[in-house]
Amino acid sequence: MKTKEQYIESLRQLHPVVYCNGEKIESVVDHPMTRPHVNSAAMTYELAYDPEYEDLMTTTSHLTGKKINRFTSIHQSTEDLIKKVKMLRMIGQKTGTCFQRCVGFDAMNSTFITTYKVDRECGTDYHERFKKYLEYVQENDLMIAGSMTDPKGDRSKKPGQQEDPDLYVHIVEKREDGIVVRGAKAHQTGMVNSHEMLILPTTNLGEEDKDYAVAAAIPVDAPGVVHIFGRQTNDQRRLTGDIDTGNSEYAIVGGETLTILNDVFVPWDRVFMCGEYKYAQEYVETFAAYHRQNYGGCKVGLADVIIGATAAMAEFNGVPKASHIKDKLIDMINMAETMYNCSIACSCEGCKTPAGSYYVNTLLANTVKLNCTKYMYEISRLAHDIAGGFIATLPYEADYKDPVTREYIDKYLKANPEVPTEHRIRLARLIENMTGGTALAESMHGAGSPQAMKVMIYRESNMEHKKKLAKKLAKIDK
Amino acid sequence: MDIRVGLKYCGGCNPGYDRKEIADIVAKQPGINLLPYNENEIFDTVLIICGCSADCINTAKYRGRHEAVLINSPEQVHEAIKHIRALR
Repeated sequence: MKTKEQYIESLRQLHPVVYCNGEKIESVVDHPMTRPHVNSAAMTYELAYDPEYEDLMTTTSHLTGKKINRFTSIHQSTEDLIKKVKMLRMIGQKTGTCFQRCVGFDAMNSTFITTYKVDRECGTDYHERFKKYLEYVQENDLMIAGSMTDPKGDRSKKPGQQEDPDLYVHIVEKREDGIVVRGAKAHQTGMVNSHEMLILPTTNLGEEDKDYAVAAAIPVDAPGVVHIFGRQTNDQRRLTGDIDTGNSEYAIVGGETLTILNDVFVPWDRVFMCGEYKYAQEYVETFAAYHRQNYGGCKVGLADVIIGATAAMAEFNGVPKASHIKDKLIDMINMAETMYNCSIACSCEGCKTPAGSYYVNTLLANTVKLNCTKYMYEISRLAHDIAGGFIATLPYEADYKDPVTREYIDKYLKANPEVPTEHRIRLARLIENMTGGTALAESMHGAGSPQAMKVMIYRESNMEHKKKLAKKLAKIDK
Repeated sequence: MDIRVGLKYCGGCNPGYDRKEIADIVAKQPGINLLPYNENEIFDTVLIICGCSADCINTAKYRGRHEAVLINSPEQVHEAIKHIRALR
């Protein structure tokens, strides 16, 4: 397993092409816009060596029997699925933001299942290829960016019907030694500080979309790969200080990119799907269910921090004992634990797949994320309610550091006399960071938009059974 | 001779108390040598500190010459110390 330091050093050895705000970033480790995201992902390496957390952070490889970072593992039991959720919650409590590594984790687990099925029905050898690749990932403790979402163009049209064929990643050439792919992947969490990306299809495909049925592993700095770093709410505050960012060490969400694949060559041993369009939908749904399971882990970890910040702010404001505040804090806890309950439940109700790995309960996994699209907003709303309007009107950090204005700010923004004004400002900025803008949109659309969950929830629910139950009790014969 | 105790924590997803504080209390006890658990070493016993009553760690994996001692709430620490001392 890599240590935190080895992970960071390994990123220095890569040379991805990254553009950000009109500038080309030469080192993601050293650039202030990307460094906080590196720190966040580095936590997944650091905690694996911490005795207090290693029981969740590490496991045993089913391929080699060696101790590995859990993020590179294939789930071997429902206990593994549960530990994944607990691990995500625990890390979220420490970073207060996305630590990015779950997407690749889920992409690898869904690829493990899908390649097994494709091989069995099509006579291909993707599964063996993937197992070799997985062993390489485990041995080197790589961070893999799970790379599913295509830009999608006109949403009413399938990939093959788009005016511009590149709006979904597709195969443009098949050669003796591999394939060439073109297109882009959007909203790519953790991409610039990953070692490799694992691309997979983003939607169900028909025969006319055959060239879009592609899964492959690609180094983030492979020739032809270009990353454009996404802008986040208030992200440039990190260039001018540490108070106003709210969470200067780890930033907001996952440092997403628009990643362009300009005729990128992939050798055959890294290709895990090539034209088997019939399996794209199941592949996407498997990935999505694993990924939706996560939100009752990581987001609950973040909610733990928001709730703690809100409770502390009530103390800082001098009103910790107000009954309406306690009542709202309880509501916040209830929503957080409800999301957690759903994640634990979908893990407990998981099952063994024909490939031998374990998979979550699809229906319950989708309830996790649908709840998250609502509860994270409501938790944030209550945090704003309790914290007070000053989180939106605070002066600039520069004015707080200016001796002329600091005196006024210290005097007039003080509340509880036992709490320094700076502490109150720092906590307010943390709440602002975690409960607005980009952070909220991520809770809504990460792992799919709410309608995608509703489609799955309806499909996975046996409505006829429910109707029969009602009719029987109501004594309706047919 | 001190009793050699291997220390193992649960994963710490949502601990109800500070597990490290409890470990520190045990470590300060005379006659108890509390060391980080290592599967290649043989301990007299293993102290497993869980953050909640779920005890989700696989306790069967960890034992020394004697069965592991488990704590999942701060109130259990003195009983655990008594139990460890009795192994001498």
